[in-house]
Amino acid sequence: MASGTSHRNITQQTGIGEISILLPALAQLSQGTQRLLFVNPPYIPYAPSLFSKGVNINNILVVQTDKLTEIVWAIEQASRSKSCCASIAWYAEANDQAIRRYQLALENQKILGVLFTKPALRKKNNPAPWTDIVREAQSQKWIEIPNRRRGGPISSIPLARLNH
Amino acid sequence: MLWTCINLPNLALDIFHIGADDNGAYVVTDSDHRTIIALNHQAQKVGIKTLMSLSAAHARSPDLKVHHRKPTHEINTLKQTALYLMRYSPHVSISIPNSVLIEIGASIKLFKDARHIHQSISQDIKRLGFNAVITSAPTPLAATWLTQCGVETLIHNKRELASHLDRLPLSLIKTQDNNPQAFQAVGMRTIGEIKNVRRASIAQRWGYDVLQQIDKAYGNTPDPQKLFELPQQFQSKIPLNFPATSVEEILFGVNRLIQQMCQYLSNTKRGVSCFKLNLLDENLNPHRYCLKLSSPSRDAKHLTHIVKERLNQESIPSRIEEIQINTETTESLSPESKNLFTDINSKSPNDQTLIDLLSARIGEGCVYGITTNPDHRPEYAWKKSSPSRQRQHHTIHNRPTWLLSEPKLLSTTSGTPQLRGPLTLIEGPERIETGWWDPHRVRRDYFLAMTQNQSRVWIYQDLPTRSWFLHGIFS
Repeated sequence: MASGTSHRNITQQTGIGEISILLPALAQLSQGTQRLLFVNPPYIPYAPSLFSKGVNINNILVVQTDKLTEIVWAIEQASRSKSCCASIAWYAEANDQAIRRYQLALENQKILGVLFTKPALRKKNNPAPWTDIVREAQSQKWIEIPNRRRGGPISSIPLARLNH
Repeated sequence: MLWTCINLPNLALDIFHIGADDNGAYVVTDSDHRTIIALNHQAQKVGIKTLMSLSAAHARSPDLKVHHRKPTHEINTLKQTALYLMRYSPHVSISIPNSVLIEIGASIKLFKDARHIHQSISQDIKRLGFNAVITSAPTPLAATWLTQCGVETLIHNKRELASHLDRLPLSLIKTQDNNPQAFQAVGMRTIGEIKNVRRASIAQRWGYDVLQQIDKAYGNTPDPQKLFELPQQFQSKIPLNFPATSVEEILFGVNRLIQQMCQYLSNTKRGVSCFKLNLLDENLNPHRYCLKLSSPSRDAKHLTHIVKERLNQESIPSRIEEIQINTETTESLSPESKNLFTDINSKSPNDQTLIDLLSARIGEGCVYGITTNPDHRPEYAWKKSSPSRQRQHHTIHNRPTWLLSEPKLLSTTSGTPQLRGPLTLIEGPERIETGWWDPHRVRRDYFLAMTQNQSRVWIYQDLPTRSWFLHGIFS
């Protein structure tokens, strides 16, 4: 997963794909000196589990706030400070304006940005440059990418079962 | 040894003069409120002189402004000057009533040469708004005497010093009875003349102390000075001329105080990790804010930025009349040394800035790092940690990525736990039975379970009550 772009990740419900898709990337990014920012995570990011999956948890910084303005502000500060390599944010009700501001904050910065939102917000004029939807059908997980910059929608990709 | 003496001859006058407009004659009276001890240029023009009585001065200039002398204010001003000069050398001493002595000999190499320091000090004093006589000499007493005679010079060695001292008037030497005319009766006027008199006679006639002073001035005997010590904590305040009504106006004052605080911290080679800001409103009600930092700092820009973020979050009373700042905890902070090889664990200064900014706006408890904790109870196997600390961690396998802050009670249908339909147990049980030594004893059987829509969750059965709880979510 290339950094320098922002992703908008839509999940139907917590607990079916979500962060396990990102974990290998996070484990790799966390080995440096830069921070991984977890903004408004839905539950406690469980240190023993993350550590056993190779994430350097010394570099994790959790920001607990459920106000949209503060979430976006925190991400702006993180990308401006150049001391973060990734910012993962959870906000179910993010509106287009917030997503656009979020996108602006990350543009041209060397930072991986992921925003988890609700599927109800899926619209045609989605400002995020890349959206993927993790859904579950036929006892398998599928990743759907309805929009991406420089390219049309592509068909769903079955997600290999990830081990915990 | 090279001592620089900064003599402020008009100190009593200057403390009233700084920041005030300079028109009209004004004088400063002694503690008896009658005798004039200092006066400005305009007062001199109308014929007022020092030691004149106040009534005589009023007769010459009816609209004369009169200040009473403030000795404590004078000493505080000397202390501030000493603090300011500490960047040249830690050997600073205050000489009452109106001088500051600083030993610059040890700092010559750092500032290239003595003349350079000398000039730099006089520029600094001018910037502070004082009239000063500045002289450097190999002994502190010689430097003091020279400034008292108004001589501004830089004397490098003792031989050169002797020729200067020989010409100074004898009235500089303090006798036991403090009589300025003590030496006149014997027909001597300069220090050079008395130096040629037999030592025994000097001691017999004027006391041993006079001899000591001469020896100290010429550098024949050591003259240790009581060094000025920095206060343990920094404390300063600034009254605002006009009440501040916006955060920007408050920050203007805060910035000045923070500059002073950073000067203090830099002199003590320390960084502040917690400081208090107090804003007094028009009714003198205090509004206190405590600002904590993730690691000690003395970067004025950074500290001001944190105060700004914090004040933007608070509702501030409309009219602020005074701003106070004091350091709460400081830690020693040596200047950063540069390594040839970069340390992979070292964080950039940006990192600290980011953490402090986030904490200032979102709240201290809401910005944290995470760490593992050696405890078998899942809720105690992790804890929040200070983000700037590096720690060693423990590995435990088969743990979920997410943990619920409070276990959620699950309903059961004929003994099977339900979560959006019945749950299928995949792995387990893993019995965790520990914590008997404290009130949070646990006896649980943990299972990895699968929901109807393929989500994997971590549930447990509480053994004493037999109820099922959801405790974690695997991704």
